[in-house]
Parts: sequence; C-alpha cells; structure tokens
Amino acid sequence: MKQWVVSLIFLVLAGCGGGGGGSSAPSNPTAGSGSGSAPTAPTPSEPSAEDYKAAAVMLDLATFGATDGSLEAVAKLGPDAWLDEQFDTPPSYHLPIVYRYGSEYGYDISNGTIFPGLYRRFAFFERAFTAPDQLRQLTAYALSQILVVSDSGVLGVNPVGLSSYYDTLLEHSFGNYRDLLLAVTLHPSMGFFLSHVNNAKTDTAANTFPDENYAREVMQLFSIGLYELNPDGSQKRDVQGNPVATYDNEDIQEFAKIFTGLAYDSTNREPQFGRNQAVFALPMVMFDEYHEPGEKYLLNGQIVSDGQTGLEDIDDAIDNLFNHPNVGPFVGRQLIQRLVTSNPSPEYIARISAVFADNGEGVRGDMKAVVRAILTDEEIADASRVREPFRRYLAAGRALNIGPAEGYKYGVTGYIVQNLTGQMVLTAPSVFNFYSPFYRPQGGMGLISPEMQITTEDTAIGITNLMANLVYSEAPMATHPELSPVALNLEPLVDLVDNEDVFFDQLDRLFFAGNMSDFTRAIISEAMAELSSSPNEEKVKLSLYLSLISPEQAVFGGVQ
Amino acid sequence: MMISRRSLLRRGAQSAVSLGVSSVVPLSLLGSAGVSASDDYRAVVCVLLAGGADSYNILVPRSEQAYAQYQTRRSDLALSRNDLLPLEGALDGVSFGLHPAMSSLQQRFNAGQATLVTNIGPLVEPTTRAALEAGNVRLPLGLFSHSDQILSWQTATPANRAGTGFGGRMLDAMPAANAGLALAGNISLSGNNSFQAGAATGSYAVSAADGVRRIAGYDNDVFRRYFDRFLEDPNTSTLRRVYGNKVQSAIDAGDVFNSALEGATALSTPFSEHYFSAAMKRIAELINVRESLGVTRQTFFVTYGGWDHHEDTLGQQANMLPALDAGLGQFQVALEELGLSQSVTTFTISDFGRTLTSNGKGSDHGWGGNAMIMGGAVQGGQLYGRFPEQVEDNPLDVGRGRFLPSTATDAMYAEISRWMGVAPESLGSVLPNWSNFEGSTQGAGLMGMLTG
Repeated sequence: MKQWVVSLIFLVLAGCGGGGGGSSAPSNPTAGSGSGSAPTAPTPSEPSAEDYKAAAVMLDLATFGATDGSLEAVAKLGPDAWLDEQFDTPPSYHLPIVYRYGSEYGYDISNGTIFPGLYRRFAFFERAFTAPDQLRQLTAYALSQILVVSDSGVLGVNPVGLSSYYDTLLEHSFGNYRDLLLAVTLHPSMGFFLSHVNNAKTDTAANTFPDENYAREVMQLFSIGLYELNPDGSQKRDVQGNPVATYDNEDIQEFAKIFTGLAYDSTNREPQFGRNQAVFALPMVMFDEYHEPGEKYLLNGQIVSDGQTGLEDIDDAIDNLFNHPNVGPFVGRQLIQRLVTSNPSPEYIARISAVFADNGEGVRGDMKAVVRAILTDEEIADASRVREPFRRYLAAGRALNIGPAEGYKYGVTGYIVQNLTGQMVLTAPSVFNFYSPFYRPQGGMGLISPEMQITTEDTAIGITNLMANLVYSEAPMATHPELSPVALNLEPLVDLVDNEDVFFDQLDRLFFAGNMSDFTRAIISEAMAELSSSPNEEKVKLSLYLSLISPEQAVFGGVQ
Repeated sequence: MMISRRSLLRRGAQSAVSLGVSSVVPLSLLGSAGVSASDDYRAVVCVLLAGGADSYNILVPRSEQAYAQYQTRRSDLALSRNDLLPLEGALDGVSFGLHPAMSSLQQRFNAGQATLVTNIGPLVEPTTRAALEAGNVRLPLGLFSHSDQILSWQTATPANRAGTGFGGRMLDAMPAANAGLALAGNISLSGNNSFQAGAATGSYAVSAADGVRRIAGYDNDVFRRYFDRFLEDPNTSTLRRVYGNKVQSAIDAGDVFNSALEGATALSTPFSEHYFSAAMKRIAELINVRESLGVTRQTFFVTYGGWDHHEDTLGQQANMLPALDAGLGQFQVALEELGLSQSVTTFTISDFGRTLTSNGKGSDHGWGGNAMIMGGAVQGGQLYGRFPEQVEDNPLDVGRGRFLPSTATDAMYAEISRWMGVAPESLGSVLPNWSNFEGSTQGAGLMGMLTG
C-alpha cells in the first residue's frame, strides 16, 4: 500500500516539472535507493516512503526549503550523495545579480553612481528561491548570523557592500574558517560596520589611540568568545569554580594595534588612508605608515615581532585566533543551532569540535567537513528548534513554487517579513545578531531557544499574519512596484487534494520534515472538510494557512 | 555558558513553579478588578540607549578648569564650551552643561523635574581601584563587552545570569498591584528584554509603529477555533508549547488592549514622527488606559539603539540626541496632560559610558557613565552621584578614561524600588546585591532623589 502511494506521488510530481527549483534532476543515480529507471516508469526500486522522509529532513535542515522537485531528487539520490553534489556545486554569487539589475535599469557605475540599495535584497531572494547551491546559500546565511554585518549607514544604501560581503561568505562557506576569518577582516563592509577602516596608530600628540571595536568583536563573536571552553562547549573553570576569561582589556588594546592601517581600495585613483569613499567589492588595503609599529602581544603568550608589515601582523593575529582551541566549540555550537538544534548535547558539540580540529586529513577549520558532520550527526533525530521566522517565510515561498508572475522579474524586497517579524538577512540590530545563542524563553523549562528571543506577542501575531498574506493575498510578497507581482503556484497541491493521504503526505514533506503528527493532520483535515463544497484551491489554501501557523510547523522536531 | 545537569534541573524546577502562575489571564476575569484608584498609580519607563552612549558628551563640565581638563582628555571629541546648555547649580563646586541637543532635559532639570546620576555603572560589591588591581573583588561579568554590560544594567545581577531583570523582579515583589491584566504589568516597545523578565512575570511586546497587533488576513473565528485546537495536543513538546502559548496570549491580551485603547480619549500632546517619539507616545496611550487594564504598577521598556559610536561621535550624537531629547520632553508633556507627571518616572540606561580618550574618530567601550532621570517625582535641579575629575591620573581611570563607577547601579535602582512601593523587606529579592552597598560610598547619595 505504502509503495503504491509513493509511486502515485511520484507520477504526479514528475508530471508537473518539479516546481520551484532547488536541486536539478539527479546526476548520480547510483546512490541511495538507486534506481536509474526513467522517471515515468515507477518500479519496485523507486524511492520508498522512508527515502522521502530522509529527503524531507535533509532538505528542511540544509536548504531554504523543500520543493516538489528537490524532494524527489534527494529521495532518489540519498542524503549523503546529495551532500556530495551540493559540495561540488559552484557558488551562485549575489553581486552579478546586483549588476544585472543595475544594467537592466540603465545605471552606469563607472561615473560613481550607486545602485539602489534594494538590489541586494532582490539578489538574495532570487538566489534563495532558485539557486542550485542551496546548501552553500544556507551555510552562508548561517555564517551571516555569526560574522554579522548589517545594513546600517552606507551599507543600507549601496547594495554592493552587503552583496559582496555575502559573496565572501559564499566563497568560503565550504573552504577553511581561517581564510574566512581573514577575508571577513579585510572586507570593507566589515571595516565600515566595525569601524576598523581608517583606524590609525597611536598619536601621542593628539592623544588618540587605536579603535578597539574590531579587536573586541573578532574575539568575542567571530572566533573564541569570552570564556575558555572545553571541546564539548562547556566552560573551563578555575580552582574557585569560576569561568576563565579568554582575554582581558589589555589584550583588546594589543589587538586594536593589529587592526590599524587599513583603508578602502579604489579603482580609478590611488587609494588614500582616511578617505571615506568605499569600493565595496575590493578588500581593504594596508597603509603601513598608519599601522601601529612595534611588538604586539597576542593570546597564549604569542608575540608578533617589531618591523612586520601591517598585513603580516593581521595574518599572525588571525592565525593566533584561528588556532585557539575555543574556535571549534564556539563556532561549531552556533552552526549546530542555526542548522539543526537549539540545545545540542555536549557530545554533539564535541564531535563537531573534533572535526573542526582535524577533518581526518590533518586539516583544521575545514568547513565542508564541519557542515557535513553537523548535517549527518546521529542527534538530528532528537533535534528541536524554533524555526527562524525569516526561514519560515522563505521555505513557504519555495514549497509553493514562488516565481515571477508572467512577464515580470523577481523583485522581492523582504520589507514585509522584516516589518512583521523583525528578521531579514543582514539587518540585525547590531553585531550581536537578532538573538543570543544562550537565550532561554520563559516557561521553557530551562531550554535554550534563540529564536524565541524575537518571538514576542507582536511578532507572533506578525508571522501569523505574514502566512495569511502569503497564502491569501493576491500579491503575496512585498515587491518592487515595477517588478510585482510575484506569484505562487498552488496547482501541484490542488492536483493532489482529492486523494487525502497523498495530499497530506506531501504537505508533511514540504512543511513538517516528514514528521507531521496525526493530531495536527486531523485538525487540518477537519477544517478542510468544512469547505467540502468550495473549490479545491480554497481547501488547499486553508490547509496551507493552518499548516504554516501551527506550533508543530513553527518548531522543527518535537522532542524538546 | 556551561549548563551542568544540576543547574538544568534547578532551572527546570523554577520553571515548573512559575508555570503554576499562568501568565494568561482568563478573559472572564478581566474588567472585574477592583484596583483603579489613579492616585495609587506608579510606573517607570526604562529607556535603553543600546550600544553604549558616550554620556560624557551629554553631561560636560563648564567650570573653566574642569572644562579645560575635559577638552584635553577628549581632544577631537570635545564639544565647544560655548555650545553647552547650562545647568543651574553645581556639583562639588563644578558647574555643568548639557549637549546642545538636550534642551528639554535642560529645561526640566532647571525646573527641578530631571537630573542625571553621574559616573554610575554596574558593580557587584564596593570596588576600589586597588581591589580591582589586586583581583580580590567580585566584578561584573564581561566588563566592557556590549552583550554583558547591557545585561548587567538590565538585570542588576552583574555577577551572574539569573535570567530575571530589575523591572520584572520589582513587579514580582508587588503581586497584588496588577489584579486585572497581569500581562500588562511589563510592557515592552522593543520586544523581549532582560529588564522585564521576572520569575512570574514577563514582558508584553507592543509595536511602536503598529501598536497592539491583531490577527489579520483571515477569518478570525476560523483562526481561533483551529489554533486553539492545535494547543490541545497532548503530545506537544516544550518548545511548541512555549511558541503556541506566546501566540495565544498575544491574541487574548491583544483583544483586551485593543478594546481598552478604542474606548480611550485621544491624547492632544503632539509627538514627532521619529521612532523614539512614536514609542513614547504608545507608552503614554497605554498609561492612559491603565484603569481599563486593571494595573497600578507598570514598567515600560523601550530601546533606542545605535549609540556605539567608535566613529564620528560628534556627528552621530548631533544626529541622534535631538530625537532622544524630543521624545523624553514630549512624553513629559503628555504625562502632564494625563495628570500623571508625579506618577511616572523615566530613566535611561546604556551598556556603558565610553573612553574619554579618542581613537581618532570616536570613543571605545568604557564602564561608568551618566544616567538621565525625568519626572515630577524627581528632586531635580541638582546632579546626583560624584563626577570624576577628567584627568589622566584619576585613580578611577582604569585605562584611556574608562571610569570605575563611583555609584553602583543598585543605588539608583534601590531609590526607584522604594519610590515604586517595594516593601523594605522585599528589596533584597529585587536587588540581591543591594545589601553589599548599603552604607558604602558607592551605594550612597541618591536617597531622596525621588519623592512622593
């Protein structure tokens, strides 16, 4: 019976072309339940219900949302082979889309014109909805909540700043964390955001000192955190039982000296220290005459010697931080929280720390190995995480085949999700992101749930209204006036609705990672029955609305 | 943060206790509350200047010698003496002025309705420079760090992360005060925060721009019927229950708020368009319906962020302070319109003061700073606390003009607690470290700052 149901879904999906993109058709049919048969000819070796369930879980965790097409592809390929494929998929960068819009709308940046800031939003949504490198896009998104830059000041105005920054995250998502940390340090958007661009050496006569901002946050937030950690993420304790600080204010002042001398690069004239016009697509450049001379004291007794260039100093300082034993558990735990679960066990963190320390080939900081380990860990079965409102919105759009209405382009700005939920990529209120990785909601039995920090009475209603808007509005996403409307395609689901089992299985896989309870299903089914005389599309809409606002959908995993 | 199994169990036990006290008031109980005497009403408004406002450029010495010291120490960050708005009186023989944007604060100060507490900051126990250097004093966690000091100010438990805040514990200590809609005790215009987290109470979030949000876009009855059913899931998980309850309490309380607000007389006091003024206006409107909500003790929380001025301190303060001053001033006028200027006290907190010395563009993270307090109950027209001499060898200077606070945050909070009506025997539960400071110089000097 089960096999028959699956085959039926398969037929229907194959007929509708897979909808909203994501993975392309499987290129490697040997993995997973491996059939190799033609899509229109189901055989006993077609993916099983379990294959679909495994695909639903993987796509829920590792992409911006499952789609009809990607469920089918991953079910056939198997999650491990799909990961291999994703790691090999070239990056879909954002900056080219910004330039594409610029050129389509006749902007010429050679004369210094700045494109409208919302192009970076268009670029993000186009990639999130359609890019084939979903795992890379999502990893960069997770990193954007650790190595935080936000759209303040010029970064909200000039789209190149944030798109180029996101591209830097994309470039290094499957590279090495050390290279990522250096690239972020030298990125002009970070230089602007944490003010280490045009940061000059000590001037005794003027009574001025190096800016401490980046020195502090690169340690507190981007690499090692405030306290010495064990590999399992727990804090080390001194003999009195107190946590051990990783650095003090003297260390901050030493690292502040390291990050002096950087200025914006320029394309059409000599760069100059102190100039405020940024070319955001190029790394900052070093002016050694503004770099603090002399020895500097790094952590763990390391000293950079006098007479090095500024960039050599920065290289040494990044190495010093990168090799600190905290980085694995500190960054690893947060990546687990973004991708999988809010309260990872010490054992889970320790497994990821071990992979961070050594990918099996003696390499430290291999992000590909770290991401794979996080997404294939045994603890995924026990994961629980309140979904980020922004990702709920993206996933709904993908599952419902969001696309430009005929004759239009993508032009999603994200303003509506930002206004109703307080969350939107690269708009955090500060370098401390949207929430603390240690936030414990009231009534949560001591559980950590960062996402609940932005789930207030206001935003809880806000996201509920957002889902109503998505399902019921004529123009479901806030769009650029010239580019609207964006449309959903509900037809694939409407085609299934007369067969309730098949329909609910598909809802389950698209929105509930294949884990929808009978309880929730019965409630939605009953609601749909009230519309028995209405068109099928209305039944589908009600089922979607109720699915998308249900606590079961709002929280991935039901263990904690 | 390490979670030991034991502490997890302890937290679990606390949560289980607080679960017994439902934060959702059954609708049937509302409107029957007997407490409504407006003369017994008190509220505090906590304005968080997130990012660490450079408050040594908000309050500046004007006396010749003290200004010269200021100018030397601040170099390119110094305001011009002629631009300062003079404050009446003097502190320790030094006269002061305010940043030129702070005209409402100046006016209220000179009218005796506002003050500043100088060089105040989080401390765990009386702390000297010598003890600090010897390492034999308990210190706030994460000194100079945004995320830590912002919590230290909100929680008044700087040595640990107990999870509750000063405002939340204050209302916990007065459980009879809000017999109507208990959820309306702590209202936040800026989402979840630590200041208003209590053991039994939390904060209720209202949008500064949109007010109390309602379910929209679909038939309300259908929504409710089915959403309520979802909440009955016997096999639900902790996080799903937390999430579902949040939505449900938002809907239930939102109805009460909105019906109260719809029946209220509109305020005539004009507010500006700026986000901060809009938030302060919402607060005034919510205070206006306190009787319909059945509350007599409230805290309000609003964040006005963006003060981490490592760069362009002068320019950014000149851009941002006018909105702060306007919002505070307009709010005070609205309170006068409501006849409640004696009943509501507004104060600012911020992550930290900043370095007196410049980084060539702005200032970096510090410790002690200057807090603003406004309201009819404030015995203003004078400064409180002790202003640190702005010289390089000041023993309070722990580096680059980062000042060890001369007054503990707890001293200000103790005064606010007394004014709000926290019983003396409950003060220890509201401010667990206060007993460390009683009788010490860092705990003294603020008694009588709030009266009535």
